[in-house]
Amino acid sequence: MTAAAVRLPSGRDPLYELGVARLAVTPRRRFENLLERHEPMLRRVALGMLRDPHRVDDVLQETYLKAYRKLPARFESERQEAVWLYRVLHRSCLDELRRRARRPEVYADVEVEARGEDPGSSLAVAAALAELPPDARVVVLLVDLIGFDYEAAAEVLGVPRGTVASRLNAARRRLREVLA
Amino acid sequence: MSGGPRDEWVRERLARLAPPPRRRGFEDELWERVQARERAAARRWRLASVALAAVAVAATAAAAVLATARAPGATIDRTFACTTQVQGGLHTFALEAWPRDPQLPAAGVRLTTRTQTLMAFNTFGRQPLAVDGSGCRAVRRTVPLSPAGLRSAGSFGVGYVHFSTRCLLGGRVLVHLRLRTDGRGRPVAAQLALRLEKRNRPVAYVRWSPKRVVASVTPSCD
Repeated sequence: MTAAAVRLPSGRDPLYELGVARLAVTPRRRFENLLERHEPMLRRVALGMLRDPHRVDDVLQETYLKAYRKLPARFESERQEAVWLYRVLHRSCLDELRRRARRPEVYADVEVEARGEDPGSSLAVAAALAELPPDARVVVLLVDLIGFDYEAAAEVLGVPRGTVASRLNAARRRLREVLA
Repeated sequence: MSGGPRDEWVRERLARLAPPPRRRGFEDELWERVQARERAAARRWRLASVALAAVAVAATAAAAVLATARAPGATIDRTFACTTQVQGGLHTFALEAWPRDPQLPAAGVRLTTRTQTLMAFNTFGRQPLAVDGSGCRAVRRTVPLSPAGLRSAGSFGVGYVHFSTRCLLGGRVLVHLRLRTDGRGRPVAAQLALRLEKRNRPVAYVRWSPKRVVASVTPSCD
């Protein structure tokens, strides 16, 4: 699957609102529709953040539970929707990474699996991302994989735009070194 | 984009990330967990509202003892505007009305939104009516006490069944309540009409007495 960018129009998007409103029959249907549109990319970002494919489903379950409970009545645009959803995912990933920091043995197997892999393989890319600190990892995933602009990424992470730019620069440089 | 352009070389590498597919039963597990959490939240709030009602009943009983042992029957006729809470992105509220039960002596009516009991009365104790002031306030609006525009939801006599409906509607709901109490302050009859404030659309109508509940609701409620 190619990394299709999320369209991020600024401000209100009447077509988006119309489309979502038509589908918003029940909270569950509305939420399922949200997942249908975002899940493939959410999975990739979760994998990139966590590196461990065995934990992706668990973290996404937590993310979806939180998101369903806090689902706003409406979003002004697809951009706002995506920013909100990735913010929930980001926090769940950070929770998982913190938990893992207390139990470092959990993902030792994945490091072993990545050794000797073709540098272009999924596992090698995940391992290269793991070389980055989590806050740089998420920036490069949001901007270069999802297609968020700096402002949207800054909103997801709750940091200034300049911080996003500097983290992104450092992350890209490091990824080039590891994957080249 | 107002930010810098994507780095195509990095993007192309990141696109190779192949996430694992959903594990088997992922969706069923998710919705089971959602329902379990909702049930737990509802249970907590039911317990809290029962405790609140018990405190209110005790306080009213104490006040009644201090004031007068026996007062004449009274009629409360008020309209309230009640704010409903959001669950899963939609406003929601529930209305329940139950006549006397062979096992439970307390017939009554309760209007709740997700985590809050907005209004309740029952024949247990001497509390004629409890209204949560943080969710409802009295207003000078008239709402017809009639089932016009609603479909019948049945008639419930003394037994084990009661009327219960949940509506994914709201914002603010106007509730017109006419409640008659006996000399001891116990509810003996009531009529309740609910209407959406913004759209001025009827939502539910209940005629209640300890022996019988007759209800009508809009088809939008389940």
